[in-house]
Amino acid sequence: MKNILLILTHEYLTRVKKKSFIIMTLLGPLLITLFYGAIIGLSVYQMKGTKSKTVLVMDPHHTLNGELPKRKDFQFQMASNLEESRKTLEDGKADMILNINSLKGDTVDLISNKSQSISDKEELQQILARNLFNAQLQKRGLSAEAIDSMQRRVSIHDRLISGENSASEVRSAVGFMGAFINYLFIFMYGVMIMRGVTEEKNNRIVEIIVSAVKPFELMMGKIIGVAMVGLTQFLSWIILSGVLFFIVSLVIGSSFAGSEDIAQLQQNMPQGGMPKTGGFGLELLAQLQALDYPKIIVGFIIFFLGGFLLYSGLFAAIGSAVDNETETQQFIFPVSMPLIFGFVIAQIAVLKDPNSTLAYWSSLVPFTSPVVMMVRLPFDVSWGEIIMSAIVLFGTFTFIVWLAGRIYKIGILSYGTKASYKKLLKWMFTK
Amino acid sequence: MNRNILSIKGLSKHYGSKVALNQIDLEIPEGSIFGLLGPNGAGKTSLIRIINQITEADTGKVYFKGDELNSQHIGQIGYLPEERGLYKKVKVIHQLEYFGRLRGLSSSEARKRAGYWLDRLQLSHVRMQKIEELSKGMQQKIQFIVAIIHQPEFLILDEPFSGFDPVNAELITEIIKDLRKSGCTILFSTHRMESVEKLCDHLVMIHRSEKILDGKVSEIKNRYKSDSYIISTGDALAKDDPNYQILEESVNDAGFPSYKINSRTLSSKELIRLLNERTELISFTQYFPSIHEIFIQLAQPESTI
Repeated sequence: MKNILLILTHEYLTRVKKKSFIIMTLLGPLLITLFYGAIIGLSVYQMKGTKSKTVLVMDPHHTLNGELPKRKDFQFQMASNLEESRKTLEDGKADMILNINSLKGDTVDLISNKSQSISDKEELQQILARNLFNAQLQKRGLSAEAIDSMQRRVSIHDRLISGENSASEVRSAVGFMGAFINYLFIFMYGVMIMRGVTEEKNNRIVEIIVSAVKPFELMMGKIIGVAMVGLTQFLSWIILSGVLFFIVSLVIGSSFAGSEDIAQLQQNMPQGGMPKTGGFGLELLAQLQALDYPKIIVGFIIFFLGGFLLYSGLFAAIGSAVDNETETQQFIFPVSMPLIFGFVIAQIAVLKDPNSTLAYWSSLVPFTSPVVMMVRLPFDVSWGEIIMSAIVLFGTFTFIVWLAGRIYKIGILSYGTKASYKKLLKWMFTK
Repeated sequence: MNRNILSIKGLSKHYGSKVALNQIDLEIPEGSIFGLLGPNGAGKTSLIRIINQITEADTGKVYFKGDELNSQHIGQIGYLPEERGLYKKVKVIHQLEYFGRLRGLSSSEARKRAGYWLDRLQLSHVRMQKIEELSKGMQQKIQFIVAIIHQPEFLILDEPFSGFDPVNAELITEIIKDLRKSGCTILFSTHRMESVEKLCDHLVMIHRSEKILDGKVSEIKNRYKSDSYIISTGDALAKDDPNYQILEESVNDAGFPSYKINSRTLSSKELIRLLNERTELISFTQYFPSIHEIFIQLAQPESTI
């Protein structure tokens, strides 16, 4: 135990003191913010920056009733002569011609110089369909007001029976973030452990160390040490992001809310009720308040550590079996398969229905639970389920580490033999 | 009067169907420099790994100062492996401290000892440098400090001189001798037989997993001396004499003919008298075979099969 602690400390300190770690830890949240900021900025810029396209509309059968839609991204102009329109197009004064050449208006020819993007085509289809629909209604004698009143957007505010905000969007977002972080950290730090083991083996440092400590102690010290590094990085990110978020929300808050202070915000939001005023921002705040943070945080730490330790054992075993990194490929794939699978489940099944059978079982299976359970955590998973899953996870971890230890023990001292599955299997069962 | 620091009884080790060590018995006297000899692949490393408790023997026992070898003894054993390795990106002083602590030293004690040895090996100026910034020779010295930092009573050196230039090899030799003076027993493993004769007082020879020879170096040399002599004479010797056989012929530094001869029937006294009658005998020495020659002689019967 003393040895594990010693190795753990050494592994932890040498990694945490590295410049690359410090830079990554400090810049991580900033980079992520910048990254998303850049994406949002770019897409806003693109929306603003794209010039509206001029569309010449030929409507010989008057299906649109002479009405043309008014849009920012497309400028529609009526045209009657196809030859003239073609000329305008060739001169570059228009971008495309829409020829509504069927009686019903449901087939349309699009003529342009360049082929158009799918999104533009879909957009146009929708615009035309809506206009067609409106024109038909008008023909049947409905007033413009009546038509307008028929076109309403619906927004659902979902509540739980307890009166709480069900907050599904925020729950999904928080859950998905947790799953992504677990997935990322298991991979990143798992590979770090694997590299560390291979390096020690290649450098033959391992020979000196295992003459002083048991191979199992070395492996455990390494795994736990690196897990602590991961946790340190993660917690620093949370704290830094929190600070960053606080600053950003202060800036945004002062520029948007003006004199409105927090007390007033609270007033607008009775417990569990719906905000009377305010829009998306307040709804978001209400949703954030509805989450069970202690459960999410405790659950996160359990599944972060459990998943991390489980996969680290496997990665350490791989690292010990090979002589260099290029050889690791054939082993990494099968090990990371369940992890990737879990991530896919997290994305598809869980976001659709976090309480589905697939989600339930995959949050119990130890190889997928560290990722899948994260998505389910914000959706009020019972403590019983969490504890059961955690027991399965840590039980499997113990078994895997024991197995990995056997491979490790022999692997680190076997040089020059090409590692194969057959050999690994043999190592598991030799004394 | 000499206790044995290490006794090995009936030690065997197999890797699958391959035999690495077969029924090895060994006694290493306290305070000796003990040579472990054998060609590559003979089983030296397997034996060292068992003594270091890196691997376990299949059968047989190892006793350290009379007690069965266990993890309590780790702090009393030092090990310089043949394949050298240190953390490239870790600073010298931290590296030494870490390895010292793994062998049971306290943090401050490890630092103190590291400081002493860095001083002694003229490496004080690199204490805050990373290993990868050092020259090969310096790295070798650091590695040597790792092996001895905890003042082991029993030091295992696997090919200690490989990678050292002659100046540093001399420095290391001096330290090894000093360590022995202060009571440390040294197991010196090598496949270069000639380096043993200068340093070791005991040796064991392993060949194809078996012990083929062990004992005091001087006794072994006596045991394997043949009736061969190195002589120089005033005039050339007669080539075909029934009393002796000329094995080698050369000219010595002073220009006299020199021979390595084998006495056929005569004792050394009789041979001297005979040679003196025929010519002027300038020098006459008993020929002791080198350890290497003894090894060849012992290994021959098997390897010719």
